[in-house]
Amino acid sequence: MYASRNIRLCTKDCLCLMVCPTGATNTENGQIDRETCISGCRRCVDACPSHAIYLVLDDYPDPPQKPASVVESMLALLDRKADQEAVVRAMLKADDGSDSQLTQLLKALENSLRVVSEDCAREAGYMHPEASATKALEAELGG
Amino acid sequence: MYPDKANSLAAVFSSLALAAEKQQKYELSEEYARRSSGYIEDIEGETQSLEYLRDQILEDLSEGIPKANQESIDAGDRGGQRAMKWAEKVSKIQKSLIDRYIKKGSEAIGDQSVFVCQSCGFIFIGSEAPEICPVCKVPSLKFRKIA
Repeated sequence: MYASRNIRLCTKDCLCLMVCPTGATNTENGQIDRETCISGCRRCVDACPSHAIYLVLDDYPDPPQKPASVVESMLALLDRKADQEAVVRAMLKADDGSDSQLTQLLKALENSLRVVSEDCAREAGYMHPEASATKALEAELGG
Repeated sequence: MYPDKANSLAAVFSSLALAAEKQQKYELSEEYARRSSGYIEDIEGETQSLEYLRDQILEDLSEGIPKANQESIDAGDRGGQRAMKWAEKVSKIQKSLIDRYIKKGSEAIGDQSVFVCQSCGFIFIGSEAPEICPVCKVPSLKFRKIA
């Protein structure tokens, strides 16, 4: 469990530099050095007045198993949304760009449909790499 | 029970790429992203009319989304219910934008820009992204401007 800095929130108060026992927070790239960061130490997390540092887990927990009825209905919707995205992609391919508003609309739909598909995939159990559903799918696909 | 179509697997793996990135597993994230685009290259979608697309979205609004929502309610799955609430609102926006283009053609967007929320898929037309997404409440930085 190592510390990570959200540079969007960091206001360069630099208290993390003063409390870090190893100097892991003092780097050139704005990130905290994972090699020297002490797992679970969290002194910099507590010291930061901007709440810009947080701990990242080594292993994320397996999300709770969903009943087959939920998984099935989420996957059914995922299939439909992904097919609709493929239709939009084909329309974009065929689009000659003569109407820039149509191109913009299609690009927005392609993006929007993908975001909805991804949400369905997560709710079907493929929440993150460590989820057992993800591991089972990768085994099924071979690799 | 697995997603087995190339179109769907592309979304499963692009979602995993985002999850890995949040965990700062950047190499794994790139690998998932490559896998996702691999599935995209595999498939050829067929061009359809905007009316066809709108009718597909309408069908989801009357069938697929309420069904998945009901299954989530029956299972006490709050995440599933949340996802279907967003999917319903986003689908309605997608549908109304398609209708707007069918009706107004090249005047549909005017001189405004188009923004898509990367958290829920909400599409916004305006000069700037909304401060907070009306569907999922994330701040404007989660909106992508469509070029």
